[in-house]
Amino acid sequence: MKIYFIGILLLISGGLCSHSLYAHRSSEKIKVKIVEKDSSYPIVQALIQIHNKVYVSDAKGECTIELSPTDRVMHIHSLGYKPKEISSFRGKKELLVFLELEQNLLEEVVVSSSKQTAARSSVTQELTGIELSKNLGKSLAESLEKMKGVSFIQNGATVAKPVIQGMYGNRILIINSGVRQEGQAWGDDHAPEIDLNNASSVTIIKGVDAIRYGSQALGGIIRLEPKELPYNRTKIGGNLSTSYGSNGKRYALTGYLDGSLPFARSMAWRVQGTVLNGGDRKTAKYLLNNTGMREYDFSTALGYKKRDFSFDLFYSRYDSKIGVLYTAQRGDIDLLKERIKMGRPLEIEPFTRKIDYPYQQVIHQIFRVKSDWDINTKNQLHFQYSYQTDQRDEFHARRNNLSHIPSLSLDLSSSQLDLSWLFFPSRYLKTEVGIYTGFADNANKAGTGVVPIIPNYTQQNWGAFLIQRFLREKWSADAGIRFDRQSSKADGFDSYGERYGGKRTFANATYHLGGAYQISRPLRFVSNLGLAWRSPHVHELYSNGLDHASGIYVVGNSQLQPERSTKWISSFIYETKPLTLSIDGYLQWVHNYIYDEPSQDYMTIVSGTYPVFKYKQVDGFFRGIDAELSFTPFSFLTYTHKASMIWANEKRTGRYLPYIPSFHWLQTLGYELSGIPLFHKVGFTLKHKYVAKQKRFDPATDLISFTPPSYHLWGLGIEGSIDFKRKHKMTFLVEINNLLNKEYKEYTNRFRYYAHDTGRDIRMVCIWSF
Amino acid sequence: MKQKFMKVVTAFLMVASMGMFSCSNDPDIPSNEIINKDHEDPVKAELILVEGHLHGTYKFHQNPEVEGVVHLNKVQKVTIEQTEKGWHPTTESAKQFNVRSTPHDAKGQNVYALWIKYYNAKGEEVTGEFVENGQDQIHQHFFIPRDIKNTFDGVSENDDTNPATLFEYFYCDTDPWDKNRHNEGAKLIGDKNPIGLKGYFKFLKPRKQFVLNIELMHAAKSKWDAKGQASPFYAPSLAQRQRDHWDLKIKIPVVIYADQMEYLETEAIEDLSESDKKLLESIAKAYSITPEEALEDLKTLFYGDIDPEAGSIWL
Repeated sequence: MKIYFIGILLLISGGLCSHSLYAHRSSEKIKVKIVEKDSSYPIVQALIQIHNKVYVSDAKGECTIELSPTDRVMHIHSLGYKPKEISSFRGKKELLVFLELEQNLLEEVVVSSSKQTAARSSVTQELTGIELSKNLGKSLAESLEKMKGVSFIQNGATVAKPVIQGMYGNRILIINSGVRQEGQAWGDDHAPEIDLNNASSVTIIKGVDAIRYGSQALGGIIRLEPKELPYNRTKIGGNLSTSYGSNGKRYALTGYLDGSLPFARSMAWRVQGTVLNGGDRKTAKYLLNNTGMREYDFSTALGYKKRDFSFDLFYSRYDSKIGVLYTAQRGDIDLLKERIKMGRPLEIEPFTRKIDYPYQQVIHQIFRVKSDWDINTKNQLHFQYSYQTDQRDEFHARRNNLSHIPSLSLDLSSSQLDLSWLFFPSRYLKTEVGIYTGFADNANKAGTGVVPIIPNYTQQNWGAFLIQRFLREKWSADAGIRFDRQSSKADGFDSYGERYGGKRTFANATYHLGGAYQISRPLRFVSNLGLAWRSPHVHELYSNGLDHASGIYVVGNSQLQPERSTKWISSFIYETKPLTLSIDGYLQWVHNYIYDEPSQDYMTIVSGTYPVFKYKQVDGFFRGIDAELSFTPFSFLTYTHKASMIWANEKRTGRYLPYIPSFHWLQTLGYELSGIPLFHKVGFTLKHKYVAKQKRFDPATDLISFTPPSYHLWGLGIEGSIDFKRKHKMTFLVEINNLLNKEYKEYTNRFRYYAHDTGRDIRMVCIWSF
Repeated sequence: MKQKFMKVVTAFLMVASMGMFSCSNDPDIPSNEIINKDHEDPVKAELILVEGHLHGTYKFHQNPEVEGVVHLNKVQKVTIEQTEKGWHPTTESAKQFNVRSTPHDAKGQNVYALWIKYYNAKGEEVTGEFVENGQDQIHQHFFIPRDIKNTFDGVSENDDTNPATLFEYFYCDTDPWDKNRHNEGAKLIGDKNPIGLKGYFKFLKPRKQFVLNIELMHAAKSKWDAKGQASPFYAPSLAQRQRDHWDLKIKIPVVIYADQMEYLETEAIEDLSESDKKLLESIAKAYSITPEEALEDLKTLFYGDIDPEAGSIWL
């Protein structure tokens, strides 16, 4: 009703001209400028309600208001933005108001191309609303794969890590609900400990946007934002989604409820939970025994927001248990050769949901306190403190009935504190200054009876940054600088009972320079240059033991120096009604790029002789292109192409770097039917994915001397939605992946030595929003 | 009022959280998991090979030692230790086993029993860990000949690459594992539940040498196949090679320097026939001794006045 009312007012207001709808006798005037919070882009036709008067902002997002002595509170609305209430404006001549995007109003928007405003100089992509919800039952990496330039590295059917333009692991920063995810990302088989269903949007930032978030993010940033708490909403809202996947007979259930407190509408709450259960996955021709998984996730939030101040508490718990394919045991070097020669499991057991040894179990918890305070129209303060724990246990079949004792048991706890100040010196300038400190303590639990692969360590981080943004209508520019200091201490016992470890301290500066220019109405250009660094992880510095999951003996190098990256990324976006084209090109030089490769040496321990992988560093050069083309000749028909290509090699010798994705090409044909009784919308999708053979491959970096052949996968999807009364909505989706049940292997799947990738999967999703 | 309270709370949290970062940043004191291994991992193994005869398919009895024999002893022991480069014989240990073959149809066949004993870092025997508490159901030693070659005087045969034609192995494990059936009341289980902590070899071809790979399988679930059968001693199934764990891999060179039925036709060194010389040469090469030393040992063995049933070792 409120929306209709605002709409009518908009019509009456007559568009761009700013004028009062009511005449008032007052001598006090205030000029209000309304801009988008993220981009500072002016918001046109925003409504400013003050007492019983309504004003509309003009093309510059501005309007002048005459105040009467009784005017104390100003309400500002604009479609697509969260409403704002301001009380501290008396006595001012000018007022700058920032409105935040309202995520839930974008439910129908598929934002899979670059989200660009003139003010943003980062190359980003976003997945929000229903498009995100449709990924129920998929991992974070799988869900992001549809974005151009994003792929994943797998360790079997259930463990996947995202790769952004060739970078993965510790080079990608994950910001989960505003908190830097501190997990065990160093491990090849350690997937991000994240419940995607807790997020209302996922943003990929491809540039070196490390100024705000800290070093490490050489590859990019994945930002997961939860839905805003529903302050002042009188009704309880929610969402319930279920899914079933035929491959592995997986089912998932997720949902949330939220609302505000009846006795204090400025306080809002939310509870959310997810249950996932899957059994053995299968390839095109055989079952992958012991690849079941369980996930039980829970999160809750409670917040307070009134006028210029907000405060909220957030807690989440991620609890997963993932089976590891029985045959994914590398064993010693002789066995490895035999197992690679077999290439697939020979003995297949009937389907089961039971998870047997080996398996991994992870519990990740986040507790966060956050507060924002708009001191006045030009100053904002942000405070955030978070505490995380990550408990990882990896179990293997062990002798003497000791399998119930984990072979690897790690307990990580970390704290982070962020303070930032946002200052608007003028309408075109936005300055942000912040400090950050973090502390992490990772300890191996005693009593496993297995020498841990990494030592106990602590890590202390300090950082300070300054970002300056210039915002004009057609162009924007931003520059930033950040200083970080990281010190780590490690202490452990190696396979021979010898104490090892040490202390390392790194300090460095990160720079960023970016700009965006709206060349013409449909054409936009974004470019940025970032210099960032990443200190070597304790795993890379001090590892000295058998990686049970990979079957390799890993030896760190305590002399490693920080990686220093210079990345230049540019993006052209051409958007017209029938055609959208975006091309991202990037060049990235990484000085001291760290990776491990076989040393041609072998280490014998009780269980056998294993190939020794040693960490080394070289100067690497990454460059690539991500392109997306979407053509809509008719309103009911859309044809989309997405392709990514990356080259990565050592600068001096030209040797190819390992685990770089090969050429990926995805094309989608979408057909939408309207006018079907009951249904709001019905759409059909046909997908084709082509992955080339990785020919830019150096056999010396791998245990085998060849890469899998190229492959084509086809997919089909049908979806529809029904709108019910009272804002209830039901969305259905049936999706068939690997429609032709193709048997294939993927180069970036580390289990390709032992088995093929997954076969056909029919996924059904039902989402009920209320 | 409420807002003021929240701002105070925020300020307090800011100060409190700053305080949290000033705590000690030393990592937890690590635990030496080698000590925590609960004696799980053997670091030393003794392989005791005993020449003997049979009193029935699974009744092995040692051939007695003859006094005065210096090299051709009935009991050979190889002690191996785990090193960074693999399992290797200790400096004082024998480096290989020297044995004779025995024809299929020979009477009083010479066979060789092998005991495997494991020790932990403290020197305590941990052999029982592979049998006790149900561990017998997931463990099996395999005896796989690799790198099969003729000895310097051997002759190639068509089936040389077939392990089954080179030797036979009979699992003679008992319950309890550390007692014998002869006079300690143990019960034979090896015929149905092969573990391989004890058993005997019957070497079938003379003048062959090979590397005996003793591989201990630790089945992820069970060592039995769907039909309840265990794999033969020289051939774990492909599924076992692929899916199960292999706890230990010990490689011992074995030289079948002659056949059991080869004897000297004369004992005077000047009267030796070609076959005598060949035998002495074979022994000398295998034991790294001179033909004269080999001859002395053979003579001592031949004239040694000893009861063939006087051996004290039984399976």
